[in-house]
Amino acid sequence: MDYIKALKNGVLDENPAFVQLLGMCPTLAVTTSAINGMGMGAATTAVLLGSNLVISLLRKVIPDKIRIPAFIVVIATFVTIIDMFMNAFAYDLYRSLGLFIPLIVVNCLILGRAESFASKNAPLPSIVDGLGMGVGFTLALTILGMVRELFGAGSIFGFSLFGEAFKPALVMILPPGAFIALGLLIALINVVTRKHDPKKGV
Amino acid sequence: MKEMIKLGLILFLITAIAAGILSISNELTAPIIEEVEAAAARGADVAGELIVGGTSFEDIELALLEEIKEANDKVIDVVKVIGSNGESLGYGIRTLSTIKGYGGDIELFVGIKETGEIGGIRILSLQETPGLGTNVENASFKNQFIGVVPSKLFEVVKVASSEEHEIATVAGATISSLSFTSSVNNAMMVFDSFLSEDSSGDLVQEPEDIDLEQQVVPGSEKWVAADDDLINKIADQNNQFVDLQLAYNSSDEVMAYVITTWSVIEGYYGHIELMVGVDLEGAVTGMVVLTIDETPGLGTNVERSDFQEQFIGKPNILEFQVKGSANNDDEIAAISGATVSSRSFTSAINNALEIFNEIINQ
Amino acid sequence: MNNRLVATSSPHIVSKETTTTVMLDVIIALVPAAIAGMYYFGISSALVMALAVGSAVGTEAAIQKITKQKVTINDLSAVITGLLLGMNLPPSVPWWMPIIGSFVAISIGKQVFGGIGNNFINPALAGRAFLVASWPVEMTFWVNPGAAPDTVAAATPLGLINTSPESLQPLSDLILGRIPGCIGETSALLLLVGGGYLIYRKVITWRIPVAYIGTVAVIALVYGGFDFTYAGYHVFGGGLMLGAIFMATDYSSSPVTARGKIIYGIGAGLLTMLIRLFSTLPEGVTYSILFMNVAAPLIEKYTAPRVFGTGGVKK
Repeated sequence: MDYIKALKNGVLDENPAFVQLLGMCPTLAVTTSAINGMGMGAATTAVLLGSNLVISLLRKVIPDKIRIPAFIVVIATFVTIIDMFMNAFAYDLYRSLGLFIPLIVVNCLILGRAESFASKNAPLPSIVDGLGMGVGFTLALTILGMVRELFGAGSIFGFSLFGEAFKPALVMILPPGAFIALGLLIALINVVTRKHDPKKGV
Repeated sequence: MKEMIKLGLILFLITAIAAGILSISNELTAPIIEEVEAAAARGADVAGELIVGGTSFEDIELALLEEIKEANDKVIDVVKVIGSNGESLGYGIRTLSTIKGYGGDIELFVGIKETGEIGGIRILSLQETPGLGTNVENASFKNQFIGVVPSKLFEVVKVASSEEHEIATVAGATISSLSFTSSVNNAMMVFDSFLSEDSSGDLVQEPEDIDLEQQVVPGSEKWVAADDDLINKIADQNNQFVDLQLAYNSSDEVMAYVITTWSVIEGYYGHIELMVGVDLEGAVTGMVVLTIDETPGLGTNVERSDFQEQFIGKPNILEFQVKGSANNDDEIAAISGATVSSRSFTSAINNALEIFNEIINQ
Repeated sequence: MNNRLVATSSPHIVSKETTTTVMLDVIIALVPAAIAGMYYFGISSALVMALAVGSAVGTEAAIQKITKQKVTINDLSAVITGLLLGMNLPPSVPWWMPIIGSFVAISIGKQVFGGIGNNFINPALAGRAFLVASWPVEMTFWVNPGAAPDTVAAATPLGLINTSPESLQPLSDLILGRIPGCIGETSALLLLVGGGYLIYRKVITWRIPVAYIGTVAVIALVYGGFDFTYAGYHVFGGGLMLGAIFMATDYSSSPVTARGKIIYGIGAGLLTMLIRLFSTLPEGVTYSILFMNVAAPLIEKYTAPRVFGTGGVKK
């Protein structure tokens, strides 16, 4: 397996947030700041790695008929572990992300990768796939978080960039701003990627 | 059938192993979580935020805490703030707000020094509109409270004067400002009633030494209970009437009638009881509030002299009207944001005037 | 003698109406109320409207140039969007707000969806909603007519009607325009005159404004206990006149069918009163119209006239 290609796939070609449009709920809700976006992405990646590995290891053991409940149990276990560890070791991030950490369980990205890749491939490729998707997701959320934080609060990663006179557009850290920012980012990415791929046309 | 058992068994196995792993993980993290949460609630930096120099917390007597919680249902916790040498610096009071914010109650942890000075405020829970109500979290708003030794409850106004207890509202977020302030006021009332040196609870009531008689009828020498017949006559005709006394001047002539009456229109939290002085021309000489349950810092502003002054010294007015601003003698400017309380108070005055005009003066 | 026959396809009868003439009529209808706004609120309001118009036209020209489309600013639709947005703003807003508002209105409210005729919501209202969500304090800072822009804030009649009705200005003030509010919404009289002109010129039909304003009037009457003065405050106050006549009637975002227009107007009236009476917001016109914009395609679908010839053979 071409591992580099697999990683690139997760980050660019099939980026979960910008291309596949999976996991929209945390993507839109949590990216009110860059650090929150990054934190959520990291947590999701951790779960993705764990669940992809375990499901791949167990793929010959889990009967087809009960694969969905089995996947969910595995994913939920990892999410709970991550939740407990964040509560213990990353308390501030845990407080900011709040309810959305347990909601990682229902992030379609994780179940999607488990179903379409990990259950059909060997452990090592599954880990690489999970890593690629996770990194892509984290990148997307961080970028979205940066944009929203910049225009909605005038800061990046908590550092105020502008002075008192700058009045940030509050709407950007509210839900409508999430949709607008995401839409514009996807449009931008489409414009850029189409320019480089002659097959897709302008 | 056999397949179902097999499937069930496999699922059971997977779940059991997952449960096992989770309990191990829980064992590992639970103590750390407990520590982290405790530090967040009661760590040294929290203590320092409440009162400068504070490093830890100490519980107060359970009996006292129970007493406070029973009297005041908005209080969540009360603790002592301890300094680095073990000395008690003051108290930390965890309380909800008495006036609801835009998104619910605002929970504050208020540090009050032994002297009654507000040492610091930590916001524990706030669900106000981002960018609008959340501006109460800004130092510029919070700092208005800190360092003040309040002699009366804090009051939210549009533009703050130099008076310590006046708090300038956050632009466009009056409700959030009122809610935040009510939380601080509640902490103050708890401190004043239960924790301070004199525990007199005198923040809300008038200081002991007001001269009731001079406030209601200035210049009066003595008061005498009115004739029983007259009192019964009034009581028969007027449901809100409570009592009547006659105020005499130094020449032993009747100078005014002192009418104790309830309000006709209900306030926000019930009726208001007033003692009103009415002179022989039907002008109000003065008044004192005997019973009031209105919102502290808002409706209770009817006790302010600048509100009450509007009624005084205007003869031949049969009924006062509450308006946004007073353009005529018979118009009373309502207290901003407390129209209901203003109306209730005014109805009590009007009732006293009615008693005077319809019954006494006949 | 020319023996050639000229063959063209329909239409063979063409009216003089173009997009530009329609837009021009709307501008003419708006001018009286805009001038009243400038009269009551001074130079700053003229500046706000000018900046809004300029930014709208500039944004449209820039986007069309960058995406290599034909630049259509001459059809004056961007001018209208800018003017309407400007008239929907308080006179005291900082200079950059009408600029950003128009930019969002044109770029996201209109061009992203395909330009004129393709917008599914009213672009000016989209811009205004963006501004209100982003800078709520500045967007709700009202001043009394005649006062300098950054003086003490005043409360609009709708803001007072439920909390301190004793402080209300007389109804005649609302009709003439001597009240605090957005630049173009204050003079109900002049807006009605503009509306009458538009109906006369057949730019809009009576259906949407009458259904909208009528519904608001009826609900206000019933809620206020048949107090005509109270209902009057609701009808002439706030952004109702401006919204019902000029914003709800935007061609692309409102239903095409006659019955659809009435349903749309009633719906907007209902939502406006719901927001005004039962929510913490004093005014509901912006959101009501946006909601009904989104519902318009559904309304059109269910009020489409039966096409002659379909329906099958009668057995």
